[in-house]
Amino acid sequence: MYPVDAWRVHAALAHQLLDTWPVCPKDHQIVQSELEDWSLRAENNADKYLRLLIGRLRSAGVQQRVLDALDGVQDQLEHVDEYLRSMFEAALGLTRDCYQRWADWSVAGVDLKLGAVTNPVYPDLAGFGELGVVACVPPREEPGAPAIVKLTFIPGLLGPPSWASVPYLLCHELICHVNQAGPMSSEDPFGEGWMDLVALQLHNHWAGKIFPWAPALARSAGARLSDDVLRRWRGLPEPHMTTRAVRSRGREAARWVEDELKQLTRTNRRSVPSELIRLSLQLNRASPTLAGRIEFISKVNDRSNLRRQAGLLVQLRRWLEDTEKAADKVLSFT
Amino acid sequence: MYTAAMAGALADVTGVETIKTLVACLGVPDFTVDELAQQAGVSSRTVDTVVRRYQYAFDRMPNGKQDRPGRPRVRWRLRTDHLDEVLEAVDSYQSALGPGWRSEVADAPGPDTVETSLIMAAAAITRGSDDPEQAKQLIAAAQNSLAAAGFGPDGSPWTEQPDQELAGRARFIAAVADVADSCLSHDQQRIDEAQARAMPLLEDAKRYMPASEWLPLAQKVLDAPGTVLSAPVLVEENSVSYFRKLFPTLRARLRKKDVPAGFVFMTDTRAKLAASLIPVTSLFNFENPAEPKLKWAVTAKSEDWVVVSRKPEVLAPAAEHGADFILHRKNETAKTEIANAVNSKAAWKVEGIHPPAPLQQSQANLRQP
Repeated sequence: MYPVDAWRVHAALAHQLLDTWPVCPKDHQIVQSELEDWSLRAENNADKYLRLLIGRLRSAGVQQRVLDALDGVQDQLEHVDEYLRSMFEAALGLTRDCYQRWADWSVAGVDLKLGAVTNPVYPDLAGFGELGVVACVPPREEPGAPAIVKLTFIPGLLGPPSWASVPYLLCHELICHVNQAGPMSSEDPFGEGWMDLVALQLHNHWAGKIFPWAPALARSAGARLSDDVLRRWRGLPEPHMTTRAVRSRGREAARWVEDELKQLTRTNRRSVPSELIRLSLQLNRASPTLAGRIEFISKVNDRSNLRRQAGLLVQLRRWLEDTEKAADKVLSFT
Repeated sequence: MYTAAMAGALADVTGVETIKTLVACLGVPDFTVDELAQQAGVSSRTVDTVVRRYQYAFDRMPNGKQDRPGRPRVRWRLRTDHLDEVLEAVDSYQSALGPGWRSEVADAPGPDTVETSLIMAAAAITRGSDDPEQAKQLIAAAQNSLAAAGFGPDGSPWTEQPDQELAGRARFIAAVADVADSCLSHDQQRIDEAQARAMPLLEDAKRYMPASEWLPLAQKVLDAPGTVLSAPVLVEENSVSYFRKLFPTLRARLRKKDVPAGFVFMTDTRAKLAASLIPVTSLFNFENPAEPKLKWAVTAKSEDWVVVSRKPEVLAPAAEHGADFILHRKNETAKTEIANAVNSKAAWKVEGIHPPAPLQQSQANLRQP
C-alpha cells in the first residue's frame, strides 16, 4: 500500500466518522490501531484496502454507531479531493476578503498541493487520530508564480481529529504566510506565533463555512493542534525547541496587545473581526523583514520597560483613532 | 495654582508610582480615580495627585448615569493632543530611576517566559544579518528578550537571584550580543573588550546550554575580529620577540614546571579572565622552511602549533606537520587570525588536538588541587 492511496482511504473513513467520533471514545483506540497498520497491508489498490480496513474494523467489535457509519465510507472515497478543494476555496475566499477589507491582498493566485509521507512529522506523542496532517507554503520558484499551500498527510495518524484540523492548517498558511510581506521563517515569532493566534480566531469564526460537516470538531482540533506546536519538554529536539519557544513569545505578545486593545475599545470579548485581527492583518503586510518582526515581538514582550510600553499604547491609541489605520507606526513603536 | 498641601502630596508620590499611573491612563479610554488606581496598582491618592499634576492633559467628562447614590464620581479622559507629553513624562521619570528600576516597575517573569525568552534571545543573535540595520535589530531583540527573561543587557538579573543555569545562559547570551554589537561599531578596542569578556563565559556556558544553542553562539564570539589572546599560549623561545612586537600586552609567566623546554608560557594582559588556565596552543614564527622540521624533531606533536610567517613557502612544511599556518601580511589581520586560532583551540579543545608531550604531564600537575 502506498501512502498516497492510504491517506485518501483514511481521509474517507475520517470524514465518515466525524459525527460518531466525539460520542464513541471507546473505539478511538481500535481505529487508531488499524490506521497505524496500513503499511502492513498487502493490497496495492485503494478500493481493496478500504474493504479490508472496513472488514477489520467490523470484526474488531466497534460500537453500533461506528458500524453504521462504516457503510458510507466507500461513497466518501471519491469525494475526498472535492472536500479538500471545498475547504481550500472557502478558506482562501474568506482570507482574501478579510485582507482586502482591512489591509491588502497582493497574491496573484494560490494553488493547493497534496502529498503524503509515511513517518510522523511532529516529535510529539499523538493522541488517537491526531497529528496526521501538516501544512506549509513552499518558497515560490519565481516571483509572480502562484503561491502554493501544501498539505502533507501521514496515513498512520489520519483520524477524524486530523481531518478536522485541515481547516485550521489552511487558515494558518493562508492568513499567516501566503500574503505576508516579509520572508518566511519557522523562527519568526510574528508569523508563527502572533499571526497563528489570529488565524485560530478567524478559523473558529469561519469553521461553519469551511468545515460545515463538523464545525465544533474543527474548532477543538484546531485549538489542540495550535497548542501542541507550543508544547516543549526537556530533550525536545531542534528545531522544535527553538521554533516552539519563538511561537510562544509571538503568541504572548499578541495576547497582551489584544487585551490592551480590548481595554482601549471596551469591546466584547467575542467580537470578530476584533481590533487585534484588523491590526494584525495590516502588520503582516507592513513588516518587510524578519529582523524587524523579531524585534517588534521582543519589544512588546519586554514589559519591564514602562517607557516602551507607554510608547506602544500611544501608537495603539493613534491607530484606533486613525481612519486610515496605518499600522507601520505601531510596528516601529519605541 | 498648587497649594502647599498639594506640593507635599506630589513630593510623596514616587517616580515609579507616577510612571505606573501615566502608563495605566494611556491604556484606557477614560477612568475614575478609583478605577485607575486599581488598574495601576497604586493608591487612589496617587492617581488623584498625578491627575492634578497633569490636569491640562485630561478632560473632565460629563457626568453620566449614577450606579449608586451619592456624589457622582468624576470621569477623566486623556486628551489625544497630549499623548506625546505623557510619553515624555514617563521617559523622564524612568530615566531618573536608579539602576534597579526594572524590578520596581515589573513583576518577575514566570519560568516559561524566562525559558522561551532566553531561547528567543539566543536565536536572534545566532541568526545575525549581513545588513547592518537588521543586525542591529536582532541585537536589540536579543537584549529585549533578555529583559523579558529578567536580565539586563549585561546579563545580570534584575529579578531575584535566578538559578545558576539560567544566570549562566543569560550572561553568555548577553556577552555574545555585546560582541555582535561591537563588531558593528568597527571599533577595535570595543571588539577586543567584548570578546575578552565573552571568552570565559563561553567556557562557563558549555555546562548550561545544549550544544545546539551553545555552538552557534560560541562561533559568533570566536569569529569576531578581536586581537586578544584569551587563553595562555606556549611561545617558542626564538619567536618571543616576534610575538611581543605583534602583541605588546603579551607577558611571560614564570611557570617553569609546567612548560616544556624551549617554550615560554605567556598570557595576554588584556584577558582579565582567561578562557582556559592551560595553554592549548603553541605559537611559532618561522621564516625558514626548514625550521618546522627541526622543531618537529624535538617535540612529539604539532597539531596544536600555529605557525606564523611572512614567507608563503613555510606553508608546505607547516601543513606537513599538521600545524595551522598564518601568513603575516598586515599586522592587524595577522593579530586577528592568531587570536582567533588561539581562542578557537581553547574553546573547542577538539579531540585529537593535544599539547606537546611534555606538557601533558604538566597538565596533570596543574589539575591537582
